[in-house]
Amino acid sequence: MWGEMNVLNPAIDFQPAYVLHTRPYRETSLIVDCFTANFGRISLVAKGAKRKKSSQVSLLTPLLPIHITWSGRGELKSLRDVEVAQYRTVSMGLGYYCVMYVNELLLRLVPKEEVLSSLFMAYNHFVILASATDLASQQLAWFTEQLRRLEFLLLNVLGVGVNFHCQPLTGISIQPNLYYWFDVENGFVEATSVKTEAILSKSASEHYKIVQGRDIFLGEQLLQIGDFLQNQNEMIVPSKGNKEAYLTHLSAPARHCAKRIAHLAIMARLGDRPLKSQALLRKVWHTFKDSS
Amino acid sequence: MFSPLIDELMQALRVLPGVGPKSAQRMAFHLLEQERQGALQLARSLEKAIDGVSYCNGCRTFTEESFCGICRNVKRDGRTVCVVESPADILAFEQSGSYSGHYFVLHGHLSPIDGIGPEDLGIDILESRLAQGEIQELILATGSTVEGEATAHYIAELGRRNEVTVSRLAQGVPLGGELEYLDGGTLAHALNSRRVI
Repeated sequence: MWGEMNVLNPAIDFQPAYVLHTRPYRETSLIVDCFTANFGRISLVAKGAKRKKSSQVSLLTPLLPIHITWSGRGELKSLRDVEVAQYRTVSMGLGYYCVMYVNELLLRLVPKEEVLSSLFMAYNHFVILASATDLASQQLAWFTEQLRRLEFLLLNVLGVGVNFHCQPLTGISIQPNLYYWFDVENGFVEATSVKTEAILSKSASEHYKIVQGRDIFLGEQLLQIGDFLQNQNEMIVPSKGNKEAYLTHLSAPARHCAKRIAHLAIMARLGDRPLKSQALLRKVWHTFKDSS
Repeated sequence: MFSPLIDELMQALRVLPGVGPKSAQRMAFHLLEQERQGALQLARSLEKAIDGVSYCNGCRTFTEESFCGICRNVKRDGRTVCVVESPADILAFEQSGSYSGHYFVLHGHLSPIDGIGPEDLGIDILESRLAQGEIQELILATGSTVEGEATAHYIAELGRRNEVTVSRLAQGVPLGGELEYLDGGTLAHALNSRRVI
């Protein structure tokens, strides 16, 4: 009898995971959204997690690497056990808000139960960076590059990656001295019909321009972003005090363009409902940036 | 199942936390059978409280006056402000009998994915009070959760900008606690914030 039940409803043991978000469910339970290494994004009910004697609630928290055990085949699984994989002291500065932004992105864009191990690895790396770094102003640029890397990887694994080296419609390589339109459907297309040199001023504050409702970029910036994203050797956690580890790889204009392109591509996937964490991230970003 | 008025009463009772259909039924019958006077009293108090009670202009705790008792008390030190997540936390501090400053109640914590930002917690009000310069020390007593820590960190940043001393409630081994039963996270915290004696 027991054997049969176990076959029908086997527990999945001790899986590496991160909590993306929790919300209350009934009086004493939680619904937990997790991102797991081997089973993708899943939703679980943690029964009684909010009871006084439960030790689960302190572990079911974002940024903490955990191992979870669950059972159930439906969309909503039952959490059986949770253990900490590794305790970390977490810096609660900007990094935290960036992780919450990424968490909301994953909740909104990643389909449930699709195994995305490469994305999990990159997410894990990003969380370590975000919680280890007490972001001083000189590290902000470096950190935004790491965030962009994760955003473009997410788009890649969702099958809507951006090609920074060639124009998808024609297969022609992107040239550093030419200008390109960007739209989410077609990627980059050479802007031949407009005299773009006249449109784009060379001032530092204006690295891309919106013409006729579409965005236009310089090839030089795109190639720089493309090379940066291809170089995966950067997946190391800088040790404290090692200032060289925080060297940026993109020029300020390229960073600016990367942010805009990531924004356009992500917004197209999100539809009408914007991210809630983004407004807060923007506000917090300015608060911390000004004071550091 | 019952008459419309009784059904309505049961439905209304279910707004209370922990009250499901069965408890609501039990409560409704108890009030109708044995506590008609008490029920009337309850109805009147509810109405009066909902109409009258709002946030204190000083600390945002619940009160029917413009300033609560603690904010009006001249013996208390308004230069020290303790930031808490809920009015229940004020009660806990008052029972400890070791604090004589003012409070500030957030009614929650920052929660990016749920869209709860600083304005929803009245942090803009606290910020303007910090800018006025009347506050000298800010004690951050938000919960020891990730969200509570993030909220504390955000307010600490505002405090530092306004050159106010900011402190966080100590965290670690509970009084009378034995180390072997303590979870790793708490122990790590206690070790990191150890002090010289």
